[in-house]
Amino acid sequence: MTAPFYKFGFFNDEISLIIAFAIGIFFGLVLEKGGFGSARMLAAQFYFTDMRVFKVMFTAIVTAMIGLFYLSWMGFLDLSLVYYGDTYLIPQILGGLILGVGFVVGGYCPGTSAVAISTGRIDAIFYALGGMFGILVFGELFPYITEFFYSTYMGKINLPTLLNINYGFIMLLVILMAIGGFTAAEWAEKAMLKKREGE
Amino acid sequence: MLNFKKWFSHHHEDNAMEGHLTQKHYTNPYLIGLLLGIVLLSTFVIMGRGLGASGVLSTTVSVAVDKVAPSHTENNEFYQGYLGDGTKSPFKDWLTFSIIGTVLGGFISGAISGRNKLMVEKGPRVSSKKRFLFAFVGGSLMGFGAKMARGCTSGQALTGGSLLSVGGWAFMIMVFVGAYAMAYFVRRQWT
Amino acid sequence: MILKIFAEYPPRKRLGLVAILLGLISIFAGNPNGKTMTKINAQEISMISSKEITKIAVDELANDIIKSKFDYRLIDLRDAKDYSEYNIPSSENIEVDQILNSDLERNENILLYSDNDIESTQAWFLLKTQDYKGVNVLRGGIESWKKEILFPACSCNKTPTIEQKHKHDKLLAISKFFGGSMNLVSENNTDGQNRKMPVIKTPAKVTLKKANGKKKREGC
Repeated sequence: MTAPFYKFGFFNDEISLIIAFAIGIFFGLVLEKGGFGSARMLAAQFYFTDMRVFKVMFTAIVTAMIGLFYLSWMGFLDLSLVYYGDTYLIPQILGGLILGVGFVVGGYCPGTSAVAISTGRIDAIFYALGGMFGILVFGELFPYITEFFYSTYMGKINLPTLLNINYGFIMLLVILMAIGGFTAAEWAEKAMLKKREGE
Repeated sequence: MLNFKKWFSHHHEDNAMEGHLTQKHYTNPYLIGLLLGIVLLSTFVIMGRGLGASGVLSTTVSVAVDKVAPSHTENNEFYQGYLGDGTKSPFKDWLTFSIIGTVLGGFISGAISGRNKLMVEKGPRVSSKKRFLFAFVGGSLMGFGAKMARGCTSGQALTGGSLLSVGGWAFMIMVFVGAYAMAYFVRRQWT
Repeated sequence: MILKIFAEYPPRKRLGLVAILLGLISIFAGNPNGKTMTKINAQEISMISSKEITKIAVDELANDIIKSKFDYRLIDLRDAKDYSEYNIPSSENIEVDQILNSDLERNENILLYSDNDIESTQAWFLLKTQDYKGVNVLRGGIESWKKEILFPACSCNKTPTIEQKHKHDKLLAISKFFGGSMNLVSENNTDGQNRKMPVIKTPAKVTLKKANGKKKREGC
């Protein structure tokens, strides 16, 4: 197993920062290319007019998921060394709900707001400031919600382990669900278009 | 001659909400998703970690609070987590550098496509001022929610999702639920 | 004919089909989480075992502990009873049959020891089949540790040379550090081997916490 390269000592921390910068460039490039530098495009998802948020996200997830599995199966990538956070179920559910509301009200998520700021969207600046304000509030409230924050801890757990189902089978379900979702999204977009044309 | 212009020729998101027609000018979302997935996969293979974004905002806030009131952050585990152990600058951090790259990448792409413009993204029925207010409020909710969930759409949804993390999937589903639930109430802002 | 049908689909549908296919295959391709089945390249392992089985001598280990410089995880492979009676400071107890279920990682430096060389070599092999990179073995195990570090033999002549005195003092200091004592009997007497093991009192200078505690934030 030779990957992840950083964890096997192929390069040091300084180089990893340069790599971070390089990866970030590609990240920003791809996001902007896809129209995610525009709050209206992002919000369109939630009015069914343009479902690209869903399409992009799930295509990316499926691609990376399949890539991770097969690179690991080939013995190239050590999947156990790839980091993902511990699961704290209830806080994450609540956090997701709040973030979702913030997403449609503000029109961005943190990554896309960076892209939007870089392309000159003034409202994205307000969004980022708001983000920092929200974090400040959280930081100040933290001593009072510490117990809740650490509740329902499940550790570094993934779906196949939790449901005790074959990893590949879960992958297949995700793929099928994504494709089903894409079909539904295309249908919704067309339906919305028809509705608007009819108005 | 490779017609790069054709790859990049899209403009006018003014009608983002309105027609399928204008969306033809945007790059195919499935292609974008594929490329994004490859970027994500490369990050996993090279660094053994995924992407992220909200961490940069947290670091900024923690450093700011620390500067203003150092005694306050001493006892607060949350801020301490972003300040590190004092041996190096909290900003000398993978996420910070990747966000700087992201800003640059976005700028480059926008410049090539002619989408760089100092403007306010909003729907026709709302004023810029109101939009700024909404953006700020939305951002605050996002910041709070992101910290509660230990991540944002880049970190938890994309990274956690592709690794089939239970928390990541739960988070991702709830983001869509929350956004759709709220969409009706802020429709004035967008449509 | 199948290719023709395939070619008729637009690109995104083709990708979708490929994805479904990969998903189907993956069901049979094993579990990336688990460590039960593994492909062992026997030839490869036989070649590396002669060169790569990195053996660390007990005096190197003793020096590292005294200087508080360890960038590896010291693993005691004996059973819990022996471990609680005595273990080398800073070691963790993982028995051989649990070694694959443990939280050892492929990119860590690991130093294995047991009573002698048998279990440590077995564990070394198990880890090597799983492609662990930094596995080392403490040559001689606890038996060597006892003989050379805790209860070193003292060749006490009445008039030692400076060099011999140096060596003697050094051995004495090391064994004292770990709570042992000099074995002041002549070489033929095997009484020293049955000395009572010292009670585990961590010498004040040894920090059981690993020096390499810098956990970088990898979250979002």
